[in-house]
Amino acid sequence: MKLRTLLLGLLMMSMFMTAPVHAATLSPGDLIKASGPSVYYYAQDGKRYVFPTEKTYFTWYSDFSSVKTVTDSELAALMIGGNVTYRPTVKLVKITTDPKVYAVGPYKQLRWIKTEALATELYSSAWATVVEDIPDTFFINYMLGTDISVAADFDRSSILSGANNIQSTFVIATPTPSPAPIPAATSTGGLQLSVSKATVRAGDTETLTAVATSTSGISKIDLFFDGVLIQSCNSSSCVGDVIIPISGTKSLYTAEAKAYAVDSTIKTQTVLVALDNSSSGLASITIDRAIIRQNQSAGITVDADVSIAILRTDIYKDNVSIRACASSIRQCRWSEQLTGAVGTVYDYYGKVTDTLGRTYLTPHKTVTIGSNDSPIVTVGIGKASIYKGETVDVTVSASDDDGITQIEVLKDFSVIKTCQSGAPCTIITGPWQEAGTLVFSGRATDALGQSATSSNAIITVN
Amino acid sequence: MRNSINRFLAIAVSTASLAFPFAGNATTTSAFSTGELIRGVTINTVYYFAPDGRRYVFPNEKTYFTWYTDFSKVKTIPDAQLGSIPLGLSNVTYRPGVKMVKITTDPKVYAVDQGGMLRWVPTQEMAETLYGLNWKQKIEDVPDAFFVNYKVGTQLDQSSDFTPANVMTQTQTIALDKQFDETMVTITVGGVSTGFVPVSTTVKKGSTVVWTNRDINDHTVVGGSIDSGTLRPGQTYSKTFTSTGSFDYHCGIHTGMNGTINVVN
Repeated sequence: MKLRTLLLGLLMMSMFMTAPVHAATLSPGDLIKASGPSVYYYAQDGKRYVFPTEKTYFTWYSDFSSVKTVTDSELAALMIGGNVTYRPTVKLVKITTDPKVYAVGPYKQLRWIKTEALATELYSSAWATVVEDIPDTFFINYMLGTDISVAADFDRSSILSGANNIQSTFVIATPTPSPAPIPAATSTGGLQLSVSKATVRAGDTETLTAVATSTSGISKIDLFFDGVLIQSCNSSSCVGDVIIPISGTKSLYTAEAKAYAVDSTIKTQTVLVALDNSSSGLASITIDRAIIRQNQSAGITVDADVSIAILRTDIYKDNVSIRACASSIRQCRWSEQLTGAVGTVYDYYGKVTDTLGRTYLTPHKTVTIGSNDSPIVTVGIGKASIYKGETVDVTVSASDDDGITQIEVLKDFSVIKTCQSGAPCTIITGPWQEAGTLVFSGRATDALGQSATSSNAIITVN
Repeated sequence: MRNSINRFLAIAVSTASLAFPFAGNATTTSAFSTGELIRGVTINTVYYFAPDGRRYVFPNEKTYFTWYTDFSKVKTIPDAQLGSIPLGLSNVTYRPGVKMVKITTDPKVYAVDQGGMLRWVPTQEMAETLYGLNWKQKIEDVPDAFFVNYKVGTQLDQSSDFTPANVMTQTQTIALDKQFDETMVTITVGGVSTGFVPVSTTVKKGSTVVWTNRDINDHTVVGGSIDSGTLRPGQTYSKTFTSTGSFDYHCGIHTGMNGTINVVN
């Protein structure tokens, strides 16, 4: 069948047959194959991405020398994440049945080059030689961006330099926070230092305990926290308390014990204490839309948990406070018009300060100025609470400046119904036979391929 | 039925030049409606013309034959008109209920539900209950590169979760499978040489017709009670037809551009 041959398939892969590496040793960015001929890109999300055509492959790689072989079962265990698209700027593309020629921009965007003169300006008079046909079936792997009207709309070299690997074409995911460092439990022989909590919150009391031994006897132990002496004992054991500072930028503190022996030898022992300012879900941030157009408003809401005695709440944009809400306001809102150029990313987070001066930080969320904004999606449920054996209607509605092309209803984050129109998408679910909670949400895609997900609607089955 | 592979693989750019003559009626037409199959003159790829005014691609022959038994209903339209119809926002997927699918590099077998949703059939027993003793013959391989056209939904916990016959009855057409709003019909306003696409189309009474200007120049849509005013590139105009009859319209700026809407019960 013609199709398969295009899956990079019949290239002479056998010459690269090497002993299989184990999936565990794979790292994001690797090219992999199993006993079959197809080569996949292994991405940061742990999924494999398909090269739909050989031409696509060769915009990224010049040969197959770096392909690693895994076992068939290891390959089967990796989900297919999607298709790889052309490397930005390398080629111009079109479809067979339409004369429009497109440049390939970042994030899988196709941008129509409106005139031949522009094509010549961007790709020289030989531009026609770099035009390749994309099979119709793979056109949906791309998004249509804005048209290129002047050469300055498409800066080839800067776009190419930002597209070093396939991962860079995927929509940017929120970076996962790096794990807190694990306190070291080193020992220098005759001195033991321990702390009451390896991870502390601002305002907590931390207790340091040191025990020292020496053949000549111990004359003094000093306890330090963050370089400050907190306790000094003229004995072989020493206990000291310290209150973790409530203002400060450190995420890691050093607890240190120094033991002075009678024979004048000095031993030191340190333990690292991690500061937990993640607020463990007590403060949360919601943004109305992750992607907006230039001059549209970004809406940010910071919510504080009822357990916090709020002194004040701040909303930060790019680490600068832009909004402060007074005490007792549990939900702090802010809306502003963003005027940055397309591609600008604004970073937002919230900080709730309690009456003790302790702070609770929300995770960071970003708002990106795009050429296309993400749709507004809402999910509506017939009833919030039902009895066993009942059904319930779930309706997802969406709106967007460009029109909605697809609405999906999701249960437990799996799609249960798809509607290819902007009309509200309704599904009657159930009857539900087991008591528990049902989580529904909606997702909508606009005419330019931008999608957004609604917040969750929860139904209790009694 | 001959040349079918060639006709289908949109991919087969290189083989398109082999130019097999079209097996059916070769006369071209500019009159076609939502839900019909269309192809151009030179390239023999067949598309489904959907209510959103876009043409949807069949990734392969197998997908086509879950929906149609032959090519007798395909209408040939002028190349320029075909080119002005934008491609669909998704590809056509297997008709729900007809077959089960898998990918070559993963042994999981899936039933196809509405909207190209794949639902894992976890046991042989369940496959047998759903598709009979010959269930193995009902499994087809979806090429990896087309797997993205599908979505993986919840798995089937019990065979009563999915009844192939019922699902098939509920999705008689691709428009139903994709849950298009069938009271909306989109017409592309192309350039002067292309005109309105389709030039002549038939809609049901109560339908809303949307004209989208996909040209780089301004156009208007005028005739009888139809008056769009100037449509700049990318702009749309819509009108709901509540009485039956034939309605002619034209572009007030470019006199050569004419079109007709036939409204039927």
